[in-house]
Amino acid sequence: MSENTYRRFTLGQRIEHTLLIISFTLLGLTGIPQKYAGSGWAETLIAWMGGIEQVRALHHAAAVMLILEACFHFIAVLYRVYVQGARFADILPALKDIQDFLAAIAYNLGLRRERPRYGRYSFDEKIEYWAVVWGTAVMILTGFMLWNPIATAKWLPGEFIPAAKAAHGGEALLAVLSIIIWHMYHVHVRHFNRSMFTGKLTHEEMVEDHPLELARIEAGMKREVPSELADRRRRIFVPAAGALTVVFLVTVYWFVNLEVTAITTVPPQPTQVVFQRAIPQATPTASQVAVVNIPHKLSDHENCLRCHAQGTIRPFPEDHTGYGNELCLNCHVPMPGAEQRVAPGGQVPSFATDIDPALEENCVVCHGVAGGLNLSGYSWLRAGGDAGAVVAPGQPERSLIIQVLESGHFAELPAEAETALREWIAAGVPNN
Amino acid sequence: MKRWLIVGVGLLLLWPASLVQAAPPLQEGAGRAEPDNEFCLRCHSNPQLTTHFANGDVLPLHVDADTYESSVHGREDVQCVGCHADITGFPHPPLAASDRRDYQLDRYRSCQGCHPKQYEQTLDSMHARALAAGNEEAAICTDCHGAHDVRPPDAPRERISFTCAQCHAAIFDVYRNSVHGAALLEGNPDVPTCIDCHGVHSIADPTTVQARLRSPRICGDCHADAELMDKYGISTDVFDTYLADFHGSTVQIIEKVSPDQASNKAVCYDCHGVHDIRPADDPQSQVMKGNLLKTCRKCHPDATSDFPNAWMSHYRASPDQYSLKWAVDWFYRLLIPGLVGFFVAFVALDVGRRTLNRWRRGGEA
Repeated sequence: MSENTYRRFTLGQRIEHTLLIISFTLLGLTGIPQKYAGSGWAETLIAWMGGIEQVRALHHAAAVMLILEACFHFIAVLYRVYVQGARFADILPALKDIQDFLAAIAYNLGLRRERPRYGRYSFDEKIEYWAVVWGTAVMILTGFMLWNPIATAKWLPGEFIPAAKAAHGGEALLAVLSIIIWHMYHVHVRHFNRSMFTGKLTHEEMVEDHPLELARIEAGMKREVPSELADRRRRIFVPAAGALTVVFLVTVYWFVNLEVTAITTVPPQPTQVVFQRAIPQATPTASQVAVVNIPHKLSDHENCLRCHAQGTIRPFPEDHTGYGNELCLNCHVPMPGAEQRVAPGGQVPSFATDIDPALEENCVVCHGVAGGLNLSGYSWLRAGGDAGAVVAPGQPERSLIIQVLESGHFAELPAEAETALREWIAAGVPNN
Repeated sequence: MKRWLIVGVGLLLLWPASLVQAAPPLQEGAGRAEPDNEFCLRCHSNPQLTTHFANGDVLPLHVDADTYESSVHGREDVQCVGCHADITGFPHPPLAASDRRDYQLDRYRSCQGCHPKQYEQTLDSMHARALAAGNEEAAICTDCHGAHDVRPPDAPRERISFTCAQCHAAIFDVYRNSVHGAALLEGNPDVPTCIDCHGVHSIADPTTVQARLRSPRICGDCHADAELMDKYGISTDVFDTYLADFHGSTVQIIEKVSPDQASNKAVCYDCHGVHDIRPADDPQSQVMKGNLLKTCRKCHPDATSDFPNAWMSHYRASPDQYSLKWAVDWFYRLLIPGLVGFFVAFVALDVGRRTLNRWRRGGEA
């Protein structure tokens, strides 16, 4: 490039600007959708960035980047001003900025023929610079409160936190809009100013945008700090900057790690007992309704009506009149263990009370003194009949009287009596 | 003589037995396609009638005719065999179930014949899942609605919560003392019963992330309803102010963006309680001013005394309350349009002048 160029930004400043672009863009992208949570576009953006937790992690990472850049900028400005002798006044707002602003408006309105002539930094650049400084300060301060609300509430009233949130969101919106309107217009739209990337301005650009600075340069009014002085100042600056760096880093570390439970909260506690019956449910037990279930075994008791028809030993209720044997077991079923129960009570039946009367009533009409077998009394029974012994003590199944009854003797003993007879034989035919 | 005697006595003894065998079995029901209720009640009106299962469980077989006839099914003249479809007459087929619960778990499936929609809804429910996981105590249709005594479940309305209380007694005891439960028992028609929050047949697991995320909208259904809340002088801002704060906006985002993401972000019930919600001025309320710090500390154990003020208690900032936030809001409400307006105006002027200059230069050339 044959054209004469003027250095505007150092490499360090250009790197700072790049860091600012990255952190600012990330902060805006991750922050603005949080401000407008609830609107569709915000949700789309958040989903695109991997969900709210990731968005917040990115936001925090970008915030750390911006804070570190701000710290670096502070030290770099110190260096440029103190060691290199840069004119800090160049960037400070001055009366001339107001005059320039009014002049610019007058020129744009056609009230003035000439555009105002700017020095190193025009009023619109100063507006932008100080807006960034102010905005960053507000964002760091309020961001700290939002990041560390518990710590903040220790030192400040709790209501500072919603106020900080409002300020953080408002300032963010202002910053983004300023960048889009003011910055974009002045360095990209009006004409594309590459100096922040190349570090240089052409002579033409200097004439257009910074004529007073150009005049100063051409007049040889470059402010140079004598190298000896610069060296001495550098010797002071380096340890001071080192100490400042340590202070900044410690502060940032503290900022980031101050508290945990504001963000990573304790999981909710387990809740109460879910299942508990109001009243322990009274499940009816067999004993409560034993009357309708069969307490005895069914083998040898196939004819229910023998004992349970009306007019028998244990008659069924009157409303069962007309029911036949085939119906009983539909409703009445043996109680658990009934098959093992041979007789109520489980005691050895008495010959005198359980067996003799039954024999007397059911058998003796035939098997009396006149027949081949006399069953009218203990000794007759033990003596047996024409066919020999009818009871085998301890062995009901081998006893002829049981065998005959089982084989279908036309007359039967009542079931209870037959059961008693079996048990009595099993017990050894006691004369009791 | 002896032979005569034997034959005579034999005939005499046989007579009752032959009479019994000749008695006709009950064929009235079996002869028809469907036994009617009257036929069934001939046996089943007997209060003593029971049967029991192999494990000793007793199944009462008694059906009270009056109870049934006043039930929703009785009034519609639904027949016994409408549900007991396996019964076609007498004798009945043997019981296949091994115990009483087994029998109930088999029988209740007949409900789907007439109520397929409700039955299908229950299949997604927490109860059905517990049942499928082997918990036989999990509620089935008849546990809530009854069997022969089905009445409208919400007549009176508190009956709904009493029904749930049968199995969730501990929770009901808490609920009955809450602002909602106490009002319900006084006959208030507006407060939620169990099902208004938990749903009816498709009762979902309330401990899932999804249920947590959805819950603010359940509360909001009533608490953002101006007509309803006006009756009790309750602010309807509660829902919007919740969404405007960290907890609410985060929950809202998570629900929309990543509904399966594990989250413990506070929802209404984390602060107000679940079944024990009380009015905010009740000394026992978790959100009553004096108790708020303890409530915050459930999730933020390091919180100190002024931390609860970081939450604006559903208020909107005003000069009287949270005035700092009110001032900040107004500051930016004025600053943003002011500055942006200035930027736009300045840029517009600059663009206008430059366009004019270019046009003039073009004109001169």
